[in-house]
Amino acid sequence: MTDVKKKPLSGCINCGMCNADCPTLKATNNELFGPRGRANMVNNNSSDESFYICTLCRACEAKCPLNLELDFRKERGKLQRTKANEEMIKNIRKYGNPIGELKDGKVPDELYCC
Amino acid sequence: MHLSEFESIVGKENLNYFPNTKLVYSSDASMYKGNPLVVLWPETIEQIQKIVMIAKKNFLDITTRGGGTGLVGGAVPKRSIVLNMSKMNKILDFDNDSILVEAGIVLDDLNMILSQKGLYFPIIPSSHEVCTIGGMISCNASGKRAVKYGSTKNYINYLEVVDGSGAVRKVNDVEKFCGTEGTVGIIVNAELKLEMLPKKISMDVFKFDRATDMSIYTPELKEKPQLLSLELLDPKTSSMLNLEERYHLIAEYENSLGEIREPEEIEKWDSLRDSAYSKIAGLGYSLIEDPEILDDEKLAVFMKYLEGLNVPFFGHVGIGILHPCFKQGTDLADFFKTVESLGGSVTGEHGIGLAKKKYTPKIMRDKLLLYKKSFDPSNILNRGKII
Repeated sequence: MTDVKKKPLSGCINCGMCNADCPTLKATNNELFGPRGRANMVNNNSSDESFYICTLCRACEAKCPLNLELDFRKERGKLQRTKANEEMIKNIRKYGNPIGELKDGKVPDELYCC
Repeated sequence: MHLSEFESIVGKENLNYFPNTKLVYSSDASMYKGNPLVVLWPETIEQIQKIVMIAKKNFLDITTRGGGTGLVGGAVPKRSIVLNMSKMNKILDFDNDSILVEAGIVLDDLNMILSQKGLYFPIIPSSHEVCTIGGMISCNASGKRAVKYGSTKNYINYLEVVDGSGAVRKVNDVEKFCGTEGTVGIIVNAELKLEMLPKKISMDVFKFDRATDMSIYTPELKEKPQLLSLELLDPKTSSMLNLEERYHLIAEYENSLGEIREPEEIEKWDSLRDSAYSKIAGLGYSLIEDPEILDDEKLAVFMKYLEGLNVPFFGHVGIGILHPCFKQGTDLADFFKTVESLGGSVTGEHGIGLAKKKYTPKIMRDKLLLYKKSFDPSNILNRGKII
């Protein structure tokens, strides 16, 4: 057998073999926090805190008989795309801090916080 | 809905009805989709009894769920309470030839523990890493070593189930109960028979080109008392698994009889077989069937028929079960007629669930209805499955 390129998650057939070694499923006994559940949500354009609870260990990927890419970082990223986060990132990039331009005696117009 | 009542029984942490939870629990490994009302994680028999009593009072359906690896929609809820058994996964009692377990224990977890004593539960479906004992009993699962050990019903001493009125009943007639797919009672505990782990395992892999060539090997192999499993991959399946496009007949023995003895090589063939369905399904043939044809000659005729249909198939030829895989939406009327004309059964191990309801033989339907009446006269357990 040769290694082949990972395939997109849209090819998931729901077999559930990915659930075998998932640490968060084992800890919670809830399929919402297992890879099949997460794949289901991705394929139904849904999102959930489950993607934060994922350890990104990819034990699920090792078990997938279809060689699908079970990388949920993108989903986590989508959840992080709030206005506050985007402003903080912009400020860090521009000023080196999440608040924005710092001037003595001047309070920034808007404050963002995580 | 009676959420506050359920919450007072199982606790807030063991109840969920949010849309994403409902989405995740709306299906199993089949292509069927349903709609859960609420998902509950009971931890004790008493909790299940109370849940059943509320369901009965309000005529709510209960779908019990194990690993969710069923292929015929048996665990797909139809506006049902989903009873997730994963928290009832304890070992309750053990002696050297039997073990009492809760229904939600995963087969591989159980066998991992038993292996320390040199023992195992020998019924091994290909979903062994995920499937639960309760689910296996519900479908009367068999799997690759069935040629030696038969199906789940052969390895159960007795069951404890909660019936449709909320009463706990001990079931000694396990043959009758196994395969009822959660329609008769909710399995809570099972006393299982155990086997010694084989000390050595070896394999032979025979390759051939015509279905009829199988008869060169199978009669002699089946006579061998050391035979543990006898599995077939057809040329299409073989090719999908990156093997030569020929028939592969894999014989597994519980000694050094076979030429393949290296554990890594044995593991390779084992996992190839285990992953066959997923690979095939991923290539579009996701409608899996499990006809059983016990007569060897008729099985060869059936294989010729499948060759003509040009679909991939594999299976446990040692016990006459094949798994032809079709594209979703394929009309299977002629296929089922052929199975019946060869004296076969339309389901050998996956069950009936939603997928094969219309093919449930009348005699089986009548028997199950009668049995269900004595356990669940109000019809609140997995309504609409099998019958």
